[in-house]
This record gives sequence, structure tokens and C-alpha cells, in this order.
Amino acid sequence: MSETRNLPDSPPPAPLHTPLVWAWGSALLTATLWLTGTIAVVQAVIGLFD
Amino acid sequence: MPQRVLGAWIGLRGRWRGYGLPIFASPLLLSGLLGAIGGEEKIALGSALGFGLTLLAARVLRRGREGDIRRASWLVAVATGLAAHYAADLGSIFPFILALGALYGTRLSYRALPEAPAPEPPPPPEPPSPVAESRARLARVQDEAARLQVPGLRDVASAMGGVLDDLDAHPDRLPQARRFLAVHLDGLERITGRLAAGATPPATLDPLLAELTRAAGELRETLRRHETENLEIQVKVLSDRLREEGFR
Repeated sequence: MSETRNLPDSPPPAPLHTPLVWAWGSALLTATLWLTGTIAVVQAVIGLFD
Repeated sequence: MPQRVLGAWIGLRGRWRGYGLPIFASPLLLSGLLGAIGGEEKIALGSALGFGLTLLAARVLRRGREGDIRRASWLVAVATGLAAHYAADLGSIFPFILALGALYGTRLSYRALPEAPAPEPPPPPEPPSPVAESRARLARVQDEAARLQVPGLRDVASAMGGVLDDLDAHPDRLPQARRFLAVHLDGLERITGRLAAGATPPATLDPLLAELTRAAGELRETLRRHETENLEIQVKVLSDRLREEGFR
């Protein structure tokens, strides 16, 4: 019989929809950080030809 | 099976965590470069701040300690807000909205990844033992005594050093010598302090120092006698026991 009483509590398994949450987070990052960078590039290009 | 696949995926993402963040911020590199070429200081500054803070966030994420995902999320939010305000010139309201989105985006992107508990703070250093502390005080007295050229003082310091040597070898004797150390060492320190301050030694100093030296020697003798008495008692008890048990 294996002794399991003193084993530390393992974290509960992640829910199966976790990859969807990751995808949603990545989409948010794209729509914020990446979009900000892209707008900054456009602003910089406009500044070059101003 | 799906749970095992997800577990492996989480493990993989845990190992590669943080490397994706600079990719999201990569357009800021180009905007920073173009801003610098075009002499647009605001764009160059905003891009540098945005990309730099994102790199910092990635570094925090790589550490993988408890709370690091939350810290990295705030760093990415600040990076996005600053880049949106300075580099993208989006005014004052939009950068806050974008920062909020980046905050939640980062949190969601790294959800369920394992975080190691924060390391325990180092234990506070142990206080010096009474003997070590007394030895340090005595060393200062000895230094002063050597400088002041008062022979009696050197003798007392040397005799007290002998007591401390005994206590080092037998720490169990410390309770019996604690009061001696407190009174004599304190007195010796005060005398040395006065002499170092330029006081002229009174005529009664030499007899007092001789008395202190004698007291230190007596203490060592007393402690040793206690040990001998204890040993005698042990021997007697053991002999009686052996006799009672019929071994002798």
C-alpha cells in the first residue's frame, strides 16, 4: 500500500477551455500592444514625410 | 487524454513563457527607429519605453515566481499606455483603455501556468553568544591596555581572557560566570575608558586591578572545583549503584 497522507497538495488540473482563454488573451494583447506599436509606426512614417 | 495533452501544453508554455511578449511589442522597434531617423523625439521615447518595459515584463515572467504574472501584466499595461500616449499619439483616454486591455490580455495569456512559491526570506543572523560578545569587549580593553602601558590592566585582561577560554571549552559553566562577566568586564571597560580619556590612575587602582586578577583566577578555580565535585558525586553514585546491583 502506498503512503499518500504526507504528500503536498497538488494544484487542481487546469480546465480544458484554458487554451481558449490563452487565445483570448493573445487577441487582447494583439488589439492593444501590437496595435499601439503599429499606430506608432504609422505616426513615425507620417513624421518622416512631414 | 485531453487533460494529459493540456498538461503537456502547459508545461511547454511554462518553459517558453515570456518570449512571446516582445513579439507583440516588436512594431515599437520599427517606430522607434523611424522616429529617431525623423527626429520625432516623442515617438522615439514612447517606443523605447514601451519596448523596454515589455522586455522587463518578459524577464519577470521568465522568473516564474508566485505573483510574477500579475507584476508582468502591470508592466505590460504601463508599457502599452506610455507607448500609446507618446509614440502613437492617442491622447489621454485611449492609452488608459489600451493599458487596461493589455493588463487583462497578459493575465489571460499566461493563466494556469505554474508559478514557484517565493523563496523564504533568509533567517535573521544568530545573536552573538555571550562569550563571543565578552571576548570582543575584552579585545577592545586589551588593545587599550596595550596602548596605555598600565601593566595591571594587561594582567586583568589576560586573567579574564583565561576565564573566557574556560567558558569556550565548557559553555555549561556560563550561568555560573555570567554575573562575574557582567560586573568585572563592565568595570574594566569603565576604568579603561577613563584612563583612555586622560585620567590619572589613582593610588587605589593597582590594588583594585590586582583584586580583579585574583578574582578571575579564583573563579576559574571555583568552576574547576565544581566540575571535580560533580565528578566525585557521579563516581559515588555509580559505585553505589554497582554495589546495589551486585556487580561489586
